[in-house]
Amino acid sequence: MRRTELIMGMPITVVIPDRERQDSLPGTVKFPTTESAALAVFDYFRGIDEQFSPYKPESETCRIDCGELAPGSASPEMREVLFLSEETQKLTGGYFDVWFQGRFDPSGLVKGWAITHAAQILEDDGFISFCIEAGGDIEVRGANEEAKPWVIGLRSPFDPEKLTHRLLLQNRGIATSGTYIRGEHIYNPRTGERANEIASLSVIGPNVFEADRLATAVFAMGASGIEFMARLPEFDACMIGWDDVATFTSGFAGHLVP
Amino acid sequence: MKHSRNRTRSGLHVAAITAMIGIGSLLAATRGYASGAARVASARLTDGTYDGRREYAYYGYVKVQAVIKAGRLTDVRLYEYPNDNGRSHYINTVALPYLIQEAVDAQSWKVDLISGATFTSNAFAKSLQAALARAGA
Repeated sequence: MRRTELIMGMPITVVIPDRERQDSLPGTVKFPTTESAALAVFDYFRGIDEQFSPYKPESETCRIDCGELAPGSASPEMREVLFLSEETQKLTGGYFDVWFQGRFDPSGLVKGWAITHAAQILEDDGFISFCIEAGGDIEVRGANEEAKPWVIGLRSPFDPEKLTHRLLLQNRGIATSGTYIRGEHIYNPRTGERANEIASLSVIGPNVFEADRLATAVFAMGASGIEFMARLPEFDACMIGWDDVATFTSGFAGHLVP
Repeated sequence: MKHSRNRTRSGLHVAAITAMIGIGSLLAATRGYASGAARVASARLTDGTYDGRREYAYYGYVKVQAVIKAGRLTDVRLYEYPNDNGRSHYINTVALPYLIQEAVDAQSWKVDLISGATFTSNAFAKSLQAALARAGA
């Protein structure tokens, strides 16, 4: 079962292998079919869009940005995002900051965070194998339709119709930061300048939340970001430069399709 | 590094190409070549041992020696570690950069999903959905 919907301005895809039920849980399940489970995921993302969109004046993000809502009085979800933002800022030595030039925008963190929460919705209902992708960031659980590791393609930063690598993933998250579609949309919070030293950075982590927040922050570090990634034991990364040159952390090659 | 593509075409700097192949993960990287991610190894090569130039590899300078036998790259020796910048210990956990010579059409590789940078345009999203459908077919 595979469904794609456009939410938060990006396609969100849910893939759940068609099996009767992937795990036996005592008691009743909320989603009797893979379709109903996918619809629950899409509903969850629509709710996240209402709550966190930087483009909707009624969202908590906009109300915090314009000073109408004090961060301390925000919803538990927003406070969780604020806490994780602060943690990410410390973890990356200031390369991640949801407050940029006086404006509040937690988008760099919310997408991965939301995908990981959506995965929890499926997991809580007994699903052990599925993929959830939102705007190129993916949570990968269990095995694919053929009961094999999921095969994830890496899009070329130079041509959206082309792939540079194929990866085999199981119970991991992958996120890619780049500049090619949205223009140069990632800023280095330390200098205020556009981060465009490298074309793309893909990060594989224990889940897509961890992968996404690091991909965003470490992309802003430029070419030295790959060294930062190499020091993190739970992560692997692939950096692609404007000169078509790819650099891997040592574990990354182990994920390549042979 | 800026002109690495031209150098590979000339065929005169084979070792410069190999400077971009991860030493720590040479075998895995070579598997990547075979699968079509890059096809450096399939170029027509003249047998011999080639020294590379001292090349900047993002985190330092490296120099390699490539061994070509029967027209194929059989060995890469790194004989100058980038130990002149105090960051050389990272080389153990970062593979040396290599050139992606040829990206592959999305539809010609069977994949479950694709990871890439965020996009917002609906037109692009539709185009991508079509690509995804092909990729998953």
